Amino acid sequence: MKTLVIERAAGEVENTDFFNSLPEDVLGSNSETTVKGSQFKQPLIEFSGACAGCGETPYVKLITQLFGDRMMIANATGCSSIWGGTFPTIPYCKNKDGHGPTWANSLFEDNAEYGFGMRLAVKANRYQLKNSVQLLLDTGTDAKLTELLNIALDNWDSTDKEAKENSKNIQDILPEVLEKADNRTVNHIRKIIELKSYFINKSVWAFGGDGWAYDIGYGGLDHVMATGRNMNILVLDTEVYSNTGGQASKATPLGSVAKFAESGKNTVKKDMGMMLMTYGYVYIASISMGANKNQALKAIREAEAYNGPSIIMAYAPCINHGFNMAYTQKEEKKAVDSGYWLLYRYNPDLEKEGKNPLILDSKEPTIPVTDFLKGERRYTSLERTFPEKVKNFRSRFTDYAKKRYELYSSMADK
Amino acid sequence: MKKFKKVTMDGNTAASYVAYAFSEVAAIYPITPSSPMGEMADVWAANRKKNIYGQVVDVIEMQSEAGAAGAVHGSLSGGAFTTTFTASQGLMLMLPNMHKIAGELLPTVFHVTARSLAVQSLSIFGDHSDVMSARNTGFALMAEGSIQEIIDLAVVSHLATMKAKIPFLNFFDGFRNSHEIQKIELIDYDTMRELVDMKYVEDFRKRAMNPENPMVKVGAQNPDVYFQGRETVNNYYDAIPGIVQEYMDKVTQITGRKYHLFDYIGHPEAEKVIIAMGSGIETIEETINYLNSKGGEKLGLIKVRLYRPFAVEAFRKTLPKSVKKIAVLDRTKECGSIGEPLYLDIVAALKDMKDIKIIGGRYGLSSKEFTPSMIKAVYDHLDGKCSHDFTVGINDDVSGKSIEIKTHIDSVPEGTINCKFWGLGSDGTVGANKNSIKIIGDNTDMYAQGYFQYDSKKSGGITRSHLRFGKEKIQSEYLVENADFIGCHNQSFIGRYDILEGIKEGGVFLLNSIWDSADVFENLTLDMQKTIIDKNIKLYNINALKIATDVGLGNRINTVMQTAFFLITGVLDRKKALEMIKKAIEKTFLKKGQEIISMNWNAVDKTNEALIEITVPELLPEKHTKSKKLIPDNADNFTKNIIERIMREKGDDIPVSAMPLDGFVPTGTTRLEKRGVAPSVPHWIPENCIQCNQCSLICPHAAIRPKLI
Repeated sequence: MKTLVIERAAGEVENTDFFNSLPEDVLGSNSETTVKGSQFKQPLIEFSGACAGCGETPYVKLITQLFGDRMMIANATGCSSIWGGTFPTIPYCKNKDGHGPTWANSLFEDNAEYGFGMRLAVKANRYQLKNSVQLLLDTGTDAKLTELLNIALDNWDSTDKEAKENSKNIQDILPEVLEKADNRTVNHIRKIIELKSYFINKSVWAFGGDGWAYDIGYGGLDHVMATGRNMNILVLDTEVYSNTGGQASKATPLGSVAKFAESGKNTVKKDMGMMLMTYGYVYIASISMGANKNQALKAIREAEAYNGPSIIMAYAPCINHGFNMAYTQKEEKKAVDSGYWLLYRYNPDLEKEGKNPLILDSKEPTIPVTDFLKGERRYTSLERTFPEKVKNFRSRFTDYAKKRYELYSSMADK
Repeated sequence: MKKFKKVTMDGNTAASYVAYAFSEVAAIYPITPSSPMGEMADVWAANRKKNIYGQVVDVIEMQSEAGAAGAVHGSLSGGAFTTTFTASQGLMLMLPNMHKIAGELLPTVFHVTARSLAVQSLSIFGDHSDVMSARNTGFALMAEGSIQEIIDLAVVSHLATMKAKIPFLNFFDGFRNSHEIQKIELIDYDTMRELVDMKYVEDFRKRAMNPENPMVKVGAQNPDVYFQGRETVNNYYDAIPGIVQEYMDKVTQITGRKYHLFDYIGHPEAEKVIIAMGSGIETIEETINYLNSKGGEKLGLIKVRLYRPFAVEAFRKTLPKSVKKIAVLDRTKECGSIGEPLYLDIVAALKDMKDIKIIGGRYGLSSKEFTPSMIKAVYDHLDGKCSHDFTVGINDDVSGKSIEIKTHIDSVPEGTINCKFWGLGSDGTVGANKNSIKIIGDNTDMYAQGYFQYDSKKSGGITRSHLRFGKEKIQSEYLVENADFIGCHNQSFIGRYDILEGIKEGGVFLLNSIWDSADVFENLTLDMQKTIIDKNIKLYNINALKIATDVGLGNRINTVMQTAFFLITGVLDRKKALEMIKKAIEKTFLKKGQEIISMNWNAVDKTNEALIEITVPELLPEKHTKSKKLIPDNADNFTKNIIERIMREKGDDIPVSAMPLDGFVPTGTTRLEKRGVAPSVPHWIPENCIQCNQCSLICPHAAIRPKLI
């Protein structure tokens, strides 16, 4: 690290201009399925107003690198809606084709439903588009367009490079076909033009924090997951209401001091992943980027690819935790190494292959969970305010973490 | 009259202090700006503080405001005095239960920091659009305009609800009052207890659900009886104004402060009167005191305290006989209505008084500033065009409803010291200023006020602190316009913001910079240099970052700047000031440990030596800093007309026509915001790089990027 003044004097501004002039998304022999390859893709969120060392933004950034050009985001009110969508400067951005995440915030309590509604709209529009394409093909139209539309129909759910290329070719050719259209086809072509941006399926996401997902929006989140429809949820779990200044949520762990939990939270964190596993058809992942970057990337890709409801709970350290935010990623690793946070993926597709759907990606803890607790002020401040409670909380936490690991590993081993 | 303790506190603390006293249960949920009320109740409960019944309040966080309201309803039905705190969309989630609570005649007080509703956009700031949506719930609505009024009238609300059996919504303006710090007089819990008539407590307990006296709260009624059931409560509502006035009188007996359902302020023979509620009434009072005494005007104001039920007779008695024109000011917007709610009430209340011209206007949505100059413009409008449905405080160049502010006045009482501090979010400036105003309030006989402005950057944004203190009561519920002291806590603000705007002749400017004292003046902009020379400004410089870093505080420069402020202004004597700062530090950082406390104490001592007064040259030097270019020359209209103005903190000047209609905005615009707030940035060392791209993956701001070429 060097000061801004020094870097600017050393030509960093010119370097940036040069860098920006280079083409984006050149992967060479790398695949976007690897950490290295994914980073050659243009991030479609940049320079947000989030805190230095924010644990939330790296997850969102990675998702935009993978799916940003066809993403719709419903964002629950909270930190991510403030750094993501405050007037007038917006961090979400576009690629060279002018495509990028489109984003909106309805309320705090309805975000899963709001995102679900977006999915319903996309489905309705794609259905109508497919119908119109079929009607046009049945009627007969331009030979080139017919060829392209047939490719589109054959690959209706594909979102790969070829499918995107085909969509672009269709969109390019439509105006001239419209000009030549006769009475039989003109209305079908007009309809296709109206809906032309739906040839590629959208990646629909609901982003929000634990206050939304575990508490105020839980009823809706649960319902949306239960519908079985294709929808992705990312929970940026800071284990506290970050945006309103750090009040306890049901994601706040045992013994953690938060506002509304002045003497330490007296109950353990709600295990939402376990609760949602009871459905059997929901993709569930628990990730912590700094602990295992590959696992995080894999989980995000699997969740998006899963043709049904999926939810990712991402551990996101926050300034409310009380540690040096220069070490967010190390803290994420420590959380997993100590068994404080588990890494796992529950993929219903595996069950169809006769496999155990639950994969526990966490290894047996290598350090005591109390080592983690001792490193954050949300746990240590109790030593000064309510010292008599500390010992009890620590021993209960150790017990809880041990049992939780054992439970997950026994389920994964079955 | 009793003598009570004087303390310096904010509106949320005041409301929570009263709510805690009268409640056995609090069911809460966080929402800005009401959250601190619940947080304080939780802290007090954790520390076993007792309410007036000698009991620790059971403070329960629920999963949503809807859940909180349900729990309140249940707890009231079960026979425990219960409260809650909320605002904005949170209040909207409580509405279904509020109708039930009122319909079942359950006494409670909801404390609401009035806040904008999310419409074309969310806003966390203050106006009355949330409470106005609760008008038809059957709750009584009580409005306050200052921290002292919150204490006094929250007590009235809690006492009145017990006797009236009707629930109360007690509200004050979000941020402007909820987060404003004022020196006020507390009413102690013993006195509150004396005011409670235990007969109403027993009555409430008797009406609770109880299997030893089993009853059913009716679930459903049919067309034959529902209507009649609705009409059973009329006498209870008719009785509320009398009950509220009775308890207002009791509070007056104890405190000497007079309150009525409506209070008239101003000239006894006023012809022009404004009617308003909330924090605006304080500023209007300050303004008419100034205009009536200095300008020989005959202006008046009616402060609305009890808004629901609206007591027509009491209102008409308050209105001077001389009045010819009335401007009703609403801090809300109701699209499609004939006028905003308070206006409609006043028109209905005076429907037979044909000689009085009544117009309605909107002001202050989302904490938009409401200043003496705007208030003068409203009175001028009554003299001039006198059109209804006007707005004040913005430039509406689309529908032409806004009125022009032609003259600027300064109605702050003489002798009041006005201070403004520009800080960087998370640098501790706001926290230190809160301590400063408490130190001044608690250790002098002066009145004191603090108000704090934030932007939406999670950290590293700018903050502005507005402090006033003086011998006269402070009623200025608006930002510091004419400053005696301006502190700039970050040198990167120079050339970007109009730092010295409004500084008074002979004022003081304190700058934190890394520059040597000899270079400071040349590093200011030309405008600043001119202002400093022309207005005889005293200029001080301190390298606070160096001191903070030396003592181990990193970029937390707040303690240094706070100490410098006290040393320069001399508001307390030097020794006393240093002692009080150190005490405040101890209190603030108790949770963070002795090490942090010692580092801050160290910073206090070092500041004394490092503070330097800069000799201001008589003539402009050759060198100065140019105003920073923020956007490219070829920027689009949205960037030029909106983004740049907001970047320069001039968003208030943006006219209606420039705003997006439906809330849609273009993306990819943060790249324009080269805020330069990071003290250090990543440096790539090619020879160490193994090209794994992991640094890019984890970079929260997408500042580190690789490309394959």
